[in-house]
Amino acid sequence: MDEELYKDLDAASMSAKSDDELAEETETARRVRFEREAVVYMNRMYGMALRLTRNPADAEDLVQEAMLKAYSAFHQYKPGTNLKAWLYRILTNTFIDKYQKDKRMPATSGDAPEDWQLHAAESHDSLGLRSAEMEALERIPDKFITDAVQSLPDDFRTAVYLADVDGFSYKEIAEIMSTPIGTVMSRLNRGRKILREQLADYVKANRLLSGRTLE
Amino acid sequence: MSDSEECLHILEHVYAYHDGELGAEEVRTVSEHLLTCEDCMGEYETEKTMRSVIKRSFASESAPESLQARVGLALEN
Repeated sequence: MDEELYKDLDAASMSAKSDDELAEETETARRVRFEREAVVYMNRMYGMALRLTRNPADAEDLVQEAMLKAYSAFHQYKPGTNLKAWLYRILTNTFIDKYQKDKRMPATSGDAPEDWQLHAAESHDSLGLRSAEMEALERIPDKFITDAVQSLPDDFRTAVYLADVDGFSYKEIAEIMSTPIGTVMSRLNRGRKILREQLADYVKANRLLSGRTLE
Repeated sequence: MSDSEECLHILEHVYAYHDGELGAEEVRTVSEHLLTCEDCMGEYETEKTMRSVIKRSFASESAPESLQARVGLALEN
């Protein structure tokens, strides 16, 4: 499904509605509009929900709860603004309210990795993976990569996933995570460095560079 | 700036460069450096590959078909 296309179509169709028209909108019309405009993002939201909750049953519950919240707040959504980011923000806030407050989920501290885990980009050689090893990266199984992303500390994982998989801008991620852009950049940098080291280790351990893989 | 200082400066901006988050002037500075520095270009290409393999690895993931029906039903109630 082409979400960008939908977003454009939505923006075009919504721009015709005035605030007065929205206020007078019937319940049924609002539901139809919500289903037409917001439900297209649900599949991608489920992916984000999986990153947050780490299991399919909770992810489904989270998406459902977020969609219900979004629906009940839909009159507050300003047509023509970024609906996808608005929905993701509700999703992450719902997660925080639902799971982190009642401590059903083990809440890992957002900035858990300390400097011992982090390697500054001091020189070309400190990054753990030479540019010539790029092709090896492409041979890493998807499962290893998704597991590596999933194992990142919460805030790093969310930032990396929103940027690299959902393609949000730094500004959008800042809105979704309710955090300054500088914090987004720092979480992205640190998350990506950890990932890169893990993928580099996999390449070395499995001798992907020599063109051989472990059976 | 010495070569290594310049490289360090460029490497600090490689993420933002790839993410399309730099201003026009910074983009030009990074682009010009990448064209003349094989090592930094290698870093940039590796980061680009990282993004594409991360994105690819999640591509097959999708919500169960029942979710849409479930949410649709919940919205009606």
